[in-house]
Amino acid sequence: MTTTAELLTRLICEKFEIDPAKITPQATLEDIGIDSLDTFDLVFAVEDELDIKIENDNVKLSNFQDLVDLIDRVRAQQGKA
Amino acid sequence: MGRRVAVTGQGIVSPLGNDPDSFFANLMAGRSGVGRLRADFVDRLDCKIAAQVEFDPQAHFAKRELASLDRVSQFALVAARQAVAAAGLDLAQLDRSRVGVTMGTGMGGANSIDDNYARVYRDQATRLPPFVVLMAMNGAAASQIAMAYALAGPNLTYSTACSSSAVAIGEAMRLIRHGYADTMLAGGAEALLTYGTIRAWEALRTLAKEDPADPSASCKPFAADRSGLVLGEGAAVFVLEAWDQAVARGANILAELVGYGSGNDGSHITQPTVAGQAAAMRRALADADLAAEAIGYINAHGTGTLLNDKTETAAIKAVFGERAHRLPVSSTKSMHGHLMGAAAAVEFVACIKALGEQAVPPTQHLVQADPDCDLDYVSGRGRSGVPLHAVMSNSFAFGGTSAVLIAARPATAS
Repeated sequence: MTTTAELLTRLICEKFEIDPAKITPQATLEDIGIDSLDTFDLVFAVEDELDIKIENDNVKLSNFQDLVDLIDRVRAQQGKA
Repeated sequence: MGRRVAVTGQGIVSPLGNDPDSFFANLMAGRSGVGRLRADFVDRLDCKIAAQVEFDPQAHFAKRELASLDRVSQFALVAARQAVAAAGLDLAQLDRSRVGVTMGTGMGGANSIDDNYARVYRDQATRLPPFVVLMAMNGAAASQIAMAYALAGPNLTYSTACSSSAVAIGEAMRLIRHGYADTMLAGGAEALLTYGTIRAWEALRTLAKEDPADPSASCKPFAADRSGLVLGEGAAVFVLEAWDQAVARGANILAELVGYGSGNDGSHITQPTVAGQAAAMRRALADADLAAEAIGYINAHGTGTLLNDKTETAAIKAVFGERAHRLPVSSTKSMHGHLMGAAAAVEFVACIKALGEQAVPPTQHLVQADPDCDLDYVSGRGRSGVPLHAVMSNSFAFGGTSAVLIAARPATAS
């Protein structure tokens, strides 16, 4: 099964044409090359892929691993893990 | 009086070509950019003609950039790139707090608005992509140009319908003239050929009936059988500079922007007045400190609507007197359609090229003139070898705002 990190990596690379080598757990979203608007766009894509709903209040992230953790938390809460 | 203003670069995306030389050559040859609308919704429309551009977004922008650029901003950016390149402007060498942008547009990101209304109302979508507001807003094109070149000077978007980009160019001239900026990228962009927008225009009953024999000949300004305007899309952007800066850097000065006059009829949302149009022409002449005799060509507003063309003819006669009958006046809209917020900018490219090449583009599809339209409309093909020292571009809008620009040959002006 695809892990959340793998799914996110694929979406980021597809949507923003970013080199996957830039995506590491500790890389900030800025390091990866996605800004706050891109993050919203990415979150929408994740919601569609996983059929989950991520509340706006939760989207405060500093690095890639934070995003993975957030999505895993929401997946567990919403029974879609 | 203030500083003189040089035009040192121009760029265009139009239904008659995506560079100034092709555009002007097509105008001079009397070719039409009007045709059957290429859109998947065309069968559902009553109006099936338009003046569309040939434009491949992916040839100009990365996929990621396109996700946040409405078609109108794409046109504007491509035209701006051409203008900056043509001007030989090395922006890194300039104080970019002294470089600004003014753009005109009627409907801004009309495609983004239409697409997302369809998602919300037709498809019942409950959420939209995060860029919709930023793509749809009227000021997006001007902002995108500023971001592309890190321009921190004045950044303004004018929306006065059909005269928007004449206002943008004229106001940019004033910003330079009066010292608020040294360099301006000024022009207009429009991309409104959407299902919803065309339907709204149909309701206004000002769109040309399709010529059954030749759809490309549907727009017939000043003709007895004219039936209205043809909607178009595109953009044009100019580099305007303080004259001394342009001279100091050895720029190729295409023309001097010498006059701008504007005002409002103050009477009716669609019906133009002779007094309002004539006042704008007189203001531009006074601003340029030129006598009417100095004008060698007028690029008319010439929409092809019943009311505009006879009103404009009367206004030109009011300003130019007897000489009006010996003054070449043409409506290039007969070929490139009505680009609304980009119309004046695209037509100003025709004016700058006319000055440079000493040639007057024609009015096409004018076989028999309306008796009320009795000027020299340069019917059919363009005229070369016409001595031109100064040219005038007229723009008269729904909502009543008139704007008139005058450009002069640099040799004459200096």
